[in-house]
Amino acid sequence: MNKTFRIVISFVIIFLSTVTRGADDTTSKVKAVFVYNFTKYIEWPTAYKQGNFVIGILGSSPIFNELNNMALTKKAGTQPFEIKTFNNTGSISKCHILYVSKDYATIMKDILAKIKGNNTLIVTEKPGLAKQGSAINFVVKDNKQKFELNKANAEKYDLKVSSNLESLGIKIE
Amino acid sequence: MRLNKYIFAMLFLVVFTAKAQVDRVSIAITYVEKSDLTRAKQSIDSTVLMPDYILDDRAWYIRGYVYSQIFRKSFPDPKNIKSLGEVAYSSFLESNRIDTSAANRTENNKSIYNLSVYFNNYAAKFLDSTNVAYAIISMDNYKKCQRYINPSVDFKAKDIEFYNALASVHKGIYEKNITKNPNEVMKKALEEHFKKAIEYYQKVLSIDPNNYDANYNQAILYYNQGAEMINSMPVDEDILVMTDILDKTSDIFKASLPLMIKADELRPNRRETLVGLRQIYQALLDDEKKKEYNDKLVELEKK
Repeated sequence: MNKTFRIVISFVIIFLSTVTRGADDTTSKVKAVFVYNFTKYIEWPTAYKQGNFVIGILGSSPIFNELNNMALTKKAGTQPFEIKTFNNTGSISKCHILYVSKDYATIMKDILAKIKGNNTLIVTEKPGLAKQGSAINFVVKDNKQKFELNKANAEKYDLKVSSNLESLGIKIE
Repeated sequence: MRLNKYIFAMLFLVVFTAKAQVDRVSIAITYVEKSDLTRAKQSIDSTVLMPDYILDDRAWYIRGYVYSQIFRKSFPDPKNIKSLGEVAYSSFLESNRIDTSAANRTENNKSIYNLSVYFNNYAAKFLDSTNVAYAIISMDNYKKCQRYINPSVDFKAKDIEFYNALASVHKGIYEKNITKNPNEVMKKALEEHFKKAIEYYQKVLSIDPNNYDANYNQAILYYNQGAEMINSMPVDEDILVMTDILDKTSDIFKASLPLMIKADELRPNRRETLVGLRQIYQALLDDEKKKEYNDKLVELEKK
């Protein structure tokens, strides 16, 4: 009796057991939601309010897929999203947001030189980069995704940061 | 139908001690002999209500036997758990209660044991998403029968298996449907399944804190709940709402971690737990630990 019962029970447990979703990258999803919100809480100059809203990614980052998905259904105000990738600083072209992957964090000076004169929001993801030129820097605090905000680094590119966003970020001066 | 030896003996006694009037119990036994359990049931049901038989332990035994046989043969009809299985049990008990000489106790108890087997089969059969309540009722009846025969019976091992299976059923319902963009009503119902699954895993761990399945599956359940909350978040979710969601998911991932660590301790270096730990640490944004478990996985896969 117990043998049959055990076989059935084992089948139920094994059959209904699931594993973690290996492909889940919750971090990228969270960062993509942040990026979308940056387009709402930051104002670009008039010249940047027409045409596509371009988000460039320097280097490879899993956020690319999330942003591409976002671009299929969402807009920045009335502007359709366009997601571009750049493999080196030389290939960076005009964009509203430049997302710098960790691998490129060591060449911030080159990046800053490249986007000089543009109205670009630089978003990075490595500790310390908000003090090295980026306006928004993703950091981890208490196992949660947070962002540092260096308002002065945004204003250098004529970008206006709303007070709401300011209150949510970790201020860096 | 092969009749129980005891019933043969009873029939023999009934025939040779028959009074002038017809013995009503023997009529029911004759139907049993002819494999006509429906008529046997009708006959014995009316017999046990008669003043001459209401205190006849043989009548109650035959009633228990007839009901338990119909119960066995109608497997797996859930409505019969109460209407047949439980009636069979109470009939055997009544027979034992009346039989003060305890002459028939062995046969009654043997039948109660057999009945417990039928309840056990029902419990296993109903471990699915729509019939899980019947599985619980059947298992309660199984235990009632077993405990009657042996009051000191230990159900620990059985409880661990059964609770793990019940948790898996609720976990399965939750995980299968939560990704299908459920409406608010459905979401609430699914949350109840989530809570039930956790409740049963906790029951297992209260009996055996070192149970691998309960630790591992509960860790997965928590992890998947947190991951699903993030994955189902619309990309244009307001930043304030997202902050609240992240506070919740962080707590959920933290609840998952010690369980997965325990599972890994219990069965070290299994792929499933290493993947689990890597994912949980990734969700907790702990890159160092994520890398540690990723490296372990790479090593394991080299072997």
